[in-house]
Amino acid sequence: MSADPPAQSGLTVAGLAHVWAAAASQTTYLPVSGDELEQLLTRLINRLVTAVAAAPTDEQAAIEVAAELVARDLTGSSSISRSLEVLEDGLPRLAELQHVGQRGAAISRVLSTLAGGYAEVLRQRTLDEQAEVTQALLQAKLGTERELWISEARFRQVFSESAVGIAISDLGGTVVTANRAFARIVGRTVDDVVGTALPKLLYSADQPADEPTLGEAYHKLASGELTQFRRQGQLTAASDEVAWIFLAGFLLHDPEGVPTHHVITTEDITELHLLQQELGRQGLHDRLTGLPNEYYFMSRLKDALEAADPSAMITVSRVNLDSFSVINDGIGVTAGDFLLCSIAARLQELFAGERAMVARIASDDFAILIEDDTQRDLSQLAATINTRLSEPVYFGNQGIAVSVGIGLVRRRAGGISAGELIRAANTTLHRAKRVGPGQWDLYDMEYDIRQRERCQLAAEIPGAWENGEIDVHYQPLCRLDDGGIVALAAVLRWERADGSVVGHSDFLELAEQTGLVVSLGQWILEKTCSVHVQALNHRREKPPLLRVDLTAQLSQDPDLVGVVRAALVATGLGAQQLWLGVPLTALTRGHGDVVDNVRTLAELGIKIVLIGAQADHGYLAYLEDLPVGAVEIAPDIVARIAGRPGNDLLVARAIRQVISLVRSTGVTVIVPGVDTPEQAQWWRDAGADAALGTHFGFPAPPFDSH
Amino acid sequence: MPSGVDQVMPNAARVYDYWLDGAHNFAADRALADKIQQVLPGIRDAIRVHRAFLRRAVQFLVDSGIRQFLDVGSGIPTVGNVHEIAQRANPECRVVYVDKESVAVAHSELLLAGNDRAAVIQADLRDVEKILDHPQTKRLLDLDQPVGLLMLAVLHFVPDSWDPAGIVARYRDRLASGSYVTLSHATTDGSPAGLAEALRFYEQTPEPMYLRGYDEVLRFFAGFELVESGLVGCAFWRPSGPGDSCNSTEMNALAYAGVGRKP
Repeated sequence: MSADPPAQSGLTVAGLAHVWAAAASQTTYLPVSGDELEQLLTRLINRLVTAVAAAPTDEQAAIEVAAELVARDLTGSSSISRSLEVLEDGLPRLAELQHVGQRGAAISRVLSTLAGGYAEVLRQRTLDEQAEVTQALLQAKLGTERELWISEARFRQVFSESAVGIAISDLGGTVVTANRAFARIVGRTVDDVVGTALPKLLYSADQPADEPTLGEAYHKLASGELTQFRRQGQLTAASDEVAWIFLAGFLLHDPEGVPTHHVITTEDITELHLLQQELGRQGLHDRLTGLPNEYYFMSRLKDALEAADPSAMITVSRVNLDSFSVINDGIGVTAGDFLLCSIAARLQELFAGERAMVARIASDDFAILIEDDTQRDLSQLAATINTRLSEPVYFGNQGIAVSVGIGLVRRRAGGISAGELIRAANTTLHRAKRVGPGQWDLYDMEYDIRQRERCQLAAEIPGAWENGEIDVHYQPLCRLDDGGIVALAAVLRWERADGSVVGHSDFLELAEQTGLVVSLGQWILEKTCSVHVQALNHRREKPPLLRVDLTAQLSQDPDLVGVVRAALVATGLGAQQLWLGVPLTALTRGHGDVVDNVRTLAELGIKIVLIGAQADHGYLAYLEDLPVGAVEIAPDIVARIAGRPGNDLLVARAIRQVISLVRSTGVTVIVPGVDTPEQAQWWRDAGADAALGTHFGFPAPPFDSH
Repeated sequence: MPSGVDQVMPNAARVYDYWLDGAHNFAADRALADKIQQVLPGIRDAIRVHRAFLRRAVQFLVDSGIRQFLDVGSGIPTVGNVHEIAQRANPECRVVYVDKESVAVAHSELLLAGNDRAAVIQADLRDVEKILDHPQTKRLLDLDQPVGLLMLAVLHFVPDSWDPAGIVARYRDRLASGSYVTLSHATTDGSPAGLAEALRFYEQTPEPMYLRGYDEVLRFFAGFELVESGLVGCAFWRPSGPGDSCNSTEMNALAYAGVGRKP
């Protein structure tokens, strides 16, 4: 404070503050009461007074006052100019500054520093506030985007978890997005479905004529003819399984109302549908594949034959899976069922649109009836069926493929019954199957007749057996080096009532074909053993052994061991006196029962003869693994070598090698069909041990066999 | 960009900020504000005296024992916010701001970060239940105790079809006895020159204004007892200093303002 008296127009700090507050509060909104404002301004004036009085003037203080003015919101467009006016006028008049020399200049310096500082601080605050509002804008954007994202995510979750299949396609029908349920219903992955044309996934069968197909409904939707549709229908899944679905389609529009996408929602109602259909279908349809069953097929075949013009051609095809049991036993029944359904669907697809019926008439047997079928190239048809069915179907990750045997018959509708037609197809199928897997054949009447005769013959076997028409003869099995008898081989002989004779191998083949051989097995064993024992009773010298050959079916009969033991017990023949012939083919088919039988029989002391050995080494492993006593060369090898004696044949050289290998393991080598001394010589040279054949003796009734 | 966040469109709250010499605004806001100011030169004064009313009203409420505030239509935080005034008067005061505009809400969130006695909710003022039952409201306000409900310069953005009186009544019904409503509303009663033209500018924004006469505004206080000075031009509500009014009668009364107490 100055001791000098106040200036003439003296002004107090409080008075200046009052004037300043009134001026400032008109320039902008100040969030304080009038009293508070005056208190604030009083404090600021006092700081300015100190700054002006200091030597040199305190410009830093001026800047701080400027900052406080801005902080206190004295920031209206005219706030600073009005404030400077008030201060320029008031400060010089304050008593507190009267003593300051050159105060006019000092005040001027301080106020100009204040003005400059104010501008800078206000610029900073404006920048801060701009940054703040921009940040707020960004934040709001992010918040809005997050909300969108959340609502989108929520939609996504509903979309992907929904049990209802949903697919959204563009107007061209290409799927843009689809959920898992949709993919499951059409039997594909979501990735597969996306990018696929929707009509490709939709298909309909059993369509009421007055309703559009699913594909048509979809097209109408696409063209705008329909805005929405709802219906039931069928969908072919990629697996060729047929799904029944409830389906609704509608259009999606953009905000301007222009259609942009289609939405298809689907529900799998297959089970419901099946339930509805089951009762009606059970009687005439196969439950697994939904195809007509044998009963339906036969009645349709009868109807077709009756209705057709007698000169019209009718084709019946029988299709049988090769080694279906491999799928069922190897992969599982589910896979087997899956395969059957696929085959059913594929066959139906091949004959869709034709006057044809595809039926499943037994486990792995299908039949196809084609009416009015004159022009078709049947070899082409067979090739088409085999090609289509041999494409693998995927069960899980496992691709399953089977070949099929096909029998084809085409006959005029007049003059043949449904039963004859299907039987002819069966015969043809069996002939094809006999050739090997994947074969087909056309009906051959001559073969059919022959086959019918054989079947008739086979059908007579049980009666012949009852009537004692089947006899056992014996053929000597002799050592090649000295011609001594090693064993007597039992040979079956059927002399029919008309005098004709059915030989051993024919008889066994017939028995095998009809499945009679298993029930004949016990009889054959007992008969041969008992005849042998009787024969032995008439001899004095060292008794020869008995050799009985089993068929493939007999070899794998799980009861074989029991049957053999019973025969031995019943006849009193020692096990060591019995040789049993087991076809190598029965072993190579890999049936476990054969191996078990061979092991157990060998343990009993019976000598096992593997019959039908070829010139290869394939069976040598059995000699290591199984207790085999002898190996018999296959008759066709023997016949081949007989036709070109010497060693220039590859087969001859191979067989000599095999014989030496076999003998090195201590296993006897037997040669059948040796009819000449030259043959006997050749085989002796080749290293074989024993032989059968007319050179050594014809089959003969027991009492003559010595 | 969703319509809620549109940098290009001017926004009433940011225009208001600009007139209050704030910088929380964009070029489009300032362009609109300047256009209006050209036809209605007193508008800055009108906004200033309205803001001054807010300060006096909040001070009055704190003095009357109110410690919790619900500011519906709070706009962007600009100079002299409710929580600043209230908490300066009494640090115990709690404030919930409500606005539907996302930039304003985001801005408020930034401003309120670290203040555990104030929060902002994004909501439409018609969603009375959503607002009153919002977790933030429940956290900060005890509706069994008196509340200071603020609806400042917001109902003139509400068309009659929304039934603004009904909306106020729905708030009123949820508030405890002893609560106050503080309400301001722009009016055409003073018919200042240029107002009609200014309103036409607003019609181009997403927030057209619906100015109402005295009796219409008075109806919003139904069920409340108006405290002294009643419903008046906002500059004339309990003035306390030179900054509370301006030298234009029309601008001093461009908005009616009043405070009502729920008995």
